[in-house]
Amino acid sequence: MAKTIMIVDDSDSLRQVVNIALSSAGYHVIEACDGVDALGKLDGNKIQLIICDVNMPNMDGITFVKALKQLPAHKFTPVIMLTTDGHEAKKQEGQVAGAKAWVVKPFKPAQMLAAVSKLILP
Amino acid sequence: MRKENYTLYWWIAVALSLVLTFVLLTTGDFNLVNAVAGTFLMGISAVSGWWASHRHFTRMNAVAARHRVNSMGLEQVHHQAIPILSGQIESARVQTEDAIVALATRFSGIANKLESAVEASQNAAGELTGGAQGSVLTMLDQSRVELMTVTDTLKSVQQSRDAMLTDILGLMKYTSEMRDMAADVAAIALQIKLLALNAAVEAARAGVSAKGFTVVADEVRKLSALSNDAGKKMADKVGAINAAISTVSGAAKRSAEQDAQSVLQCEAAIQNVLSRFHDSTSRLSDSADILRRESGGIRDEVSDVLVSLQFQDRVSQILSHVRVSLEDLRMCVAQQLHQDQGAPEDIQKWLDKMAQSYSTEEQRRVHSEVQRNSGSSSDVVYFGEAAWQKQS
Repeated sequence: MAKTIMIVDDSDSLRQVVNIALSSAGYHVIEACDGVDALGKLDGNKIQLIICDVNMPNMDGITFVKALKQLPAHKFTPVIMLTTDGHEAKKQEGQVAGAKAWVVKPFKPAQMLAAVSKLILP
Repeated sequence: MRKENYTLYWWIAVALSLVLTFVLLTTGDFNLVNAVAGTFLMGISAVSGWWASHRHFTRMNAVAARHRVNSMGLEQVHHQAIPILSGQIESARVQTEDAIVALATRFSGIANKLESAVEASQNAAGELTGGAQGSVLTMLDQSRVELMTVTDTLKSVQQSRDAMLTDILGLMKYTSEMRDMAADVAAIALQIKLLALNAAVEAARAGVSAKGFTVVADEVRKLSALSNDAGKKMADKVGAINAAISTVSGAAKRSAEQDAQSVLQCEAAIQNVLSRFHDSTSRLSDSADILRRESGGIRDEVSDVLVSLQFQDRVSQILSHVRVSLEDLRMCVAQQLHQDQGAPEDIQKWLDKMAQSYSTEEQRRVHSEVQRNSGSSSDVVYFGEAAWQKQS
């Protein structure tokens, strides 16, 4: 059975691109347009990994990761931050929040797939 | 500034001239010349004071008029230009986003179809090149063996018929012996006939007592005639059998030659067909190999395109930040319109806020380059002050 990955990003085009890259590798992808939408879609879905943007409306990526880590069911779900922001301070913020990796856009599909296969839950 | 404020300059000039006149009259002699000089000094002071204040008043009016015009311009910028620019940016951002999403969707479809085509080609290549048990090349080899079995069977049939023909030709030897036997029968019949004649002659010489023997001799002669007829008939039949065997063997020989020729032609045809099939499958296999190699390059291209398509996300973020910053600028302008002071600090706050909102390195680089080229941020505000100084 295909493993499920959630992509959280306010950009339709980027969600589409990530979806193509992950689907072609055989993953099942769930999309969410911001942190609030993502939290709403967590219930009832077994998600093995989350790829999350940082700057988003309604709820930004760092806040979402903090909220995610408060949920017992998703406390250990690995999160990859996918953002245009490469500032060290932001990276530290993401790490403290509980993210496992930080990928700066634009990403190479092979690079992303390598990170996913390394971090995804069995 | 009101006009009354400018008359102060005139009063100052007049007061100064009064002081000077007083000093002149008190320190010098109070005579007609000094009185005239003092009066003249007061007059000159009054006129020059009036002229200076009038000139200053006129210039300040012009500056104020320009300020009013600028304020009206800022009002237009606040109410129309910035919302229009903001709307245009959002429109461009949304259009680009929609176009990229549509492009990515179509590209996804193309990539999937391409992947299916490559996969089908690879399967076909595997079937052709013998990767699978039922590959075309394996089937071709099996067909070659089976078809060779057919030609071997045909050859075997031909050999059996040749053996049968040899047997038939061997029968001709027996028929020849039978013909000799028939000739022997005829010769024996002739001898018996002669013996019967001699017996009849001897019986006739013996007289009546040998009359019965005469009958026997006559019967023997008849039997001899019958034996002779049977021998002739046998010879005829053997001749007919010989002729039939010759005819059959001739036909069988011709048929065998034709069959041998046909078997050779079959072998050649089978070899040609198999050879053509082999060439075709080899070419198909080569094409599949090329496609398989190219598919790796196509996958790399797909990966590059996916990277390139992400430009929209960066562009969208930059445009969103520009739009938000324009809105902040509009608020800043609105504050300026309502307050005559504190604009430079507001602009600096706006610039700082804009700089903090950046998420991409390009934004930070562009911001820092523009600021470097423009001098310090206070210079931006200084243009306004400089313009005022230049006007005055």
